[in-house]
Amino acid sequence: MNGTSGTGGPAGARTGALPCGREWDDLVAVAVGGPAVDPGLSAHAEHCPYCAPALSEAAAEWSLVRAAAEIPVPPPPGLAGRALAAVRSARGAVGSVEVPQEGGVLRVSEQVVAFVAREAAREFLAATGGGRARSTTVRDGTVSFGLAVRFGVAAVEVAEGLRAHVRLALSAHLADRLPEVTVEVVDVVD
Amino acid sequence: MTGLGAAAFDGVVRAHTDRMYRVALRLCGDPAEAEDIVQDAWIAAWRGRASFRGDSAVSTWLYRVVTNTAMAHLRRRRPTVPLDGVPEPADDRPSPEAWALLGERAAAVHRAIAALEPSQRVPLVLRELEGMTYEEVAAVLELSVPVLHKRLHRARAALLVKLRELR
Repeated sequence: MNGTSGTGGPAGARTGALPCGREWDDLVAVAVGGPAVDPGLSAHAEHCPYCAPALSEAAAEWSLVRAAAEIPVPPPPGLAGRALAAVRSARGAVGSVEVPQEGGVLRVSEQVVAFVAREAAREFLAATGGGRARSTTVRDGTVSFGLAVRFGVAAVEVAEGLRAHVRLALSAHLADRLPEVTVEVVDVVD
Repeated sequence: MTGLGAAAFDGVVRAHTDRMYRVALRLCGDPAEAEDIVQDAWIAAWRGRASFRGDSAVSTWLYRVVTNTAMAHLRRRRPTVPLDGVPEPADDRPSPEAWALLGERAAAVHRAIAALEPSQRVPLVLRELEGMTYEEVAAVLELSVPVLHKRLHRARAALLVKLRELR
């Protein structure tokens, strides 16, 4: 850590050296059961008035981490299906949008269009709290969003705002060759 | 992985999405962002499947993809933790309600992890929450085991400090 002492008392010291000269970080390693940095520390801590309580406290706190590791983390329903849809969208986005320029043509791949559209949608929905984009696909010159609208928010307004924000973001890359942006409300979230 | 066609890759997606979500959630602390990370990670995995050489487990490669994607998301976030003093809850931290289902004790741990530097979260989550071996974590992070030990040494102490601060 940073080498500064903690509270000065043995139980509550958080960083740096304890009054006995041992490092609090090394006591944490003992409490966790990680690789020993200070090989003699375990034996020392049994009898040290500073290390023993600090070690006991660190061990008790580390038990919270162990408990957290045991608690299941259930995925949201349908996540694998949405992940598959995202992959298939990326797989199918093989075309490009051609933007005529003076002296040539700028080609922007549909993958880039999808990326910019997805980021713009996240930005808009996070700022407005209107919901979440569950899917983004680009095909045949059309960007399609599957939208989970937030309960109590008018879907029509969210869709209009989302469409305008995405088209504005895409205009930096596509000038006036903007794709159609369709929004399908597929879910309602709290 | 390069030899896998679309159908086989879809099978990998079905088999590993739950684990990817769990890692993403533990790293970013926000269910909605975790879902975005998972989708982005799978797209990155599909596009970068040539980088999987087959000399390590698919899960090792996927852990690398999802942790890299999560780190990219975290870097794009605005800072949420004050540089000094006890951190105040920030708007994009998980709400107490969001974590209620995971239990209050786990909630405290996840809030503390979310307050750590992103570079400290990955080894902690992979080793202490995912239960991977040191060798597996080192392979995901492309580090030597001794370097990983040093990072974990600092990260564990930092986690306990945060746990105390957030009580």
